[in-house]
Amino acid sequence: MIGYAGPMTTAAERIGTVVGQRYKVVSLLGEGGMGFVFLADDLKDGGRVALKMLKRDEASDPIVLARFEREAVAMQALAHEHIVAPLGYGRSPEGDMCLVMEHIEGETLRTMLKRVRQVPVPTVLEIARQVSLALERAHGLGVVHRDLKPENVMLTTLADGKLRIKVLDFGMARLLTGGPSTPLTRKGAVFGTPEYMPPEQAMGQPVDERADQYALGVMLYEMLAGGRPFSAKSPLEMVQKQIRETPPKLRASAPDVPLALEAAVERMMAKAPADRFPTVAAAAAALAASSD
Amino acid sequence: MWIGTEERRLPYAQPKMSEDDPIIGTLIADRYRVGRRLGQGGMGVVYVAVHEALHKQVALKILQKLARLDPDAVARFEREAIATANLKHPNIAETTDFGQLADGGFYLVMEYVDGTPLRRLLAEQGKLAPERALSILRQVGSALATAHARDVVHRDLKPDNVIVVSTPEAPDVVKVIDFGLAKIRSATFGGGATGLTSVGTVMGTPAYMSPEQVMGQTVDQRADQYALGVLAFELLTGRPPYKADDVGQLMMMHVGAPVPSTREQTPELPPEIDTVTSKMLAKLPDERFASVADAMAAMETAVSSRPAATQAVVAPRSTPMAPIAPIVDTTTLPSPQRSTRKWLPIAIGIGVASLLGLLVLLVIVVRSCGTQTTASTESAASSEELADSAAAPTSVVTRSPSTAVTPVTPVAPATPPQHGEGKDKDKGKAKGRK
Repeated sequence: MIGYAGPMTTAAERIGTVVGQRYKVVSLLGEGGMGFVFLADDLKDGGRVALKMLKRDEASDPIVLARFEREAVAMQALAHEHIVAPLGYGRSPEGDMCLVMEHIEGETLRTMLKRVRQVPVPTVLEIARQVSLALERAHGLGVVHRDLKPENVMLTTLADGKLRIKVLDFGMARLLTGGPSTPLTRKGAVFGTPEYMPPEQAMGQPVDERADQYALGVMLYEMLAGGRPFSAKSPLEMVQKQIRETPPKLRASAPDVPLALEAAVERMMAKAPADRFPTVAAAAAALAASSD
Repeated sequence: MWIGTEERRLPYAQPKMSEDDPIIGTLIADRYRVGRRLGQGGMGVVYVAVHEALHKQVALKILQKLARLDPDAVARFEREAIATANLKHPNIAETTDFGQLADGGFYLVMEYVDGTPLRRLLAEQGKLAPERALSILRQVGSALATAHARDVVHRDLKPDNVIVVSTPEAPDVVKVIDFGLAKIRSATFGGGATGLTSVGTVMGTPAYMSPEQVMGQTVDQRADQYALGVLAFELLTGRPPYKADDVGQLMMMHVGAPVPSTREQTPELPPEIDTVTSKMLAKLPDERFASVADAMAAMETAVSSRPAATQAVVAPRSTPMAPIAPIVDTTTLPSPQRSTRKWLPIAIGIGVASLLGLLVLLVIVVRSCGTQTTASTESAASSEELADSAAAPTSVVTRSPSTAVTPVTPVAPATPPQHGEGKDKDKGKAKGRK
C-alpha cells in the first residue's frame, strides 16, 4: 500500500484543508470514479487552480497511478491554448496524488447543451474549429485523446463576447507510437464513453487519431440536431449501434443545416476510419467551407 | 488488480507463496486444520484443510479481511454463500461450510476436488475431440442450468474453474468450482467502497468476459451462457474466439468484434455448430439462447442431427462422408426430452462400464457362487451416483495456483473526474464507475 488510507476520504473533509502547503481547497468541482477535482486557492502565486486528486483507496492501485501519471505527462507535453494547462503533478506531503491545472471559468459543453438544446450553426462551427485545433496539436504529437465528449470541453465567454474553448481530461490519452498500451483497463478506464465511441474502438481494433474525429463528429451532430444520433437502453446496446447503425439524417431534425455541413459531419462519423477525413485538420477545413 | 493471463505477470498481482504463512497448521472454526496453500488470489487464499472430526480433506478459502465491511455487505455475502451452498449437482463442487473468523474475515469450505483443471487439459492437448468436448460441455452446461434454476450465476466460468476428474470407471467427470464466488466478491468488495453492487457488476476474466460484463452492466445467467460459448469454442478449436495483446482491446472484442467461425480452426466441425456458438456468443444478451439448457440442446442437435458429419469428425478429412455408417444411429435415440438427452451419452458410457462390470461379476458369480447380489446392485447404481463416487479424491491435488480465487474488479465505462461539472451526467450515458 502506497501512502496511507487516512481518514480523509470524502470530498467534504478536504474542503478548507491546504494541500502541499500551497493549495487551499475551496470547493468541489467534480467527482469521478477515481478522484475529485477541487477548486483551490494558490496561496503562493495567488489565483485559483483546479486540483485533481486521486481518492486514497485508488491511489494504491498501480494502474490508476499509471493512468494518472499518463494524463499529467500528456498534458505537460501538449501545452496549447485550447488544451487545459497543467501546473504541477506529484504526491503531496500529505500523501495524495495531485494534478494541479489551470482553473477555467466557464462551463462544459454538456452544461451548455442542457441549456441550449440545439446550438446555432455558427456557434457549432466555432466550437468545432477550436476543438479541432486542440486535437491537431495532440495528434501532431502522437497523442489521441480517446475520450472526447461534451463533458471534456470547457467553454468560456470572453469579455468581447467571443467563445474560448479548452479541451480537458487526457486521462485516457494514448501515445500513438507507444505500441500496445499498458492495460489501464481496470475499472473500464480504456473504454471511453459509449455515446462517442468509434466503431473500431468498440470492436477492439487498434485506435488512431481518427477516433477523436469520430467523437467530434458525434458531438457536432448532437449540437446541431439537439440530440445524439443513437439512443439505447444500455451502454452495450449503444456500442452495438455505433458499430451497426447508420445515424438518422442530420437535416431531418435540423433542416437549417447546410447540405455540405451534414455531409462533413456524416463523413466524420463514418463507420470505417478509412472513410473519414484523413486528418482532423481536413475535417475542420471541410466544416469551415460547409457554410459558405 | 485482477488476475488474468496478462496481469499475472505484473508484480503486484503475483501470488505470494510464502512458506511462513501463519495460518498454516492452525485450526479454523474448531474443525479445520489448515494445510498447504493451493493458491492465492486478490480476494483470499485457498488451502487444503482437514476436517479433524471427519478426517476429511476439504478446500478452505479464506477471504481477505475487509477494511470496511458494513452489515449490508455481510448480509449480501451470507445470502450468496447460502444460495451457493445449496446447489446440489454432481458437476458442482459442493460448498459445505462458511462462516466468519474472529478477525472479521470469512472462510468458505468446499469439496476438495482432485483432478485436472480444464485449463491444463487444454494446454496439454490443444483442441479436444468433439465427442470429448461435448461430454465436458454437457456437464458444465448441466451444472450451470441447475445453478440458474436457483438464481445463482457463476459469473466467472473459465477453464480454470472446471476441474476434470478421470477414473477408469468414469472418464472426464466435470466439477465446476467457485460458483457464485464472483458475486460474493462483488457483494463484499464492490459494496461500500465502489457502490457498484447495485448494478451487479463483476469483472470476470478478460478472455471469458461477456460483453455486458465488459460494459459494466448487470449480469444474469446469460453471461454464463456466453462464457460457456467461449469455452465451447476453445474446446472445439483449441483457441479462444478472441485474442489480442492488449487487454483493453481483448475486452472490447467481446463487445464488438464479429464472432469468428469454429470451422476456421476446425473445418471438420458441422456447420450447425457455428450457428450455436454464434448465438451463445451474441453480443446482446437478448440475442442469445433463452437458457443454457436451450443452448446445450441446440448443440446436441447440431452434432447429432448429422451423424455422418460427426463421424467425419473422427475420420480423416479425406474420407467421404456418406459411406460412413454412424456407430450410434442417433435418429433412433429417444428424442428431445431434454434432461434425458443431456445425460444420455454419459449414461451410455457409464452403462457400458456397468455392463462390463456386470460381466466381470457374472464371471465371478459363476466361478465362486458367493454372495454377489449386493455387488451387482451396486454396479447398477445410477449414473449420477457413479459420477459422484468417481469424483472422490484419491490422489494428489493438481489444481494450479490460478484456480485460486480470482481477484475481481468491478468494471464500468469510466467517467473521469471533470474539471468543470463532473456530476453532469445525462441519463442515457453509461453510469460512471463508482
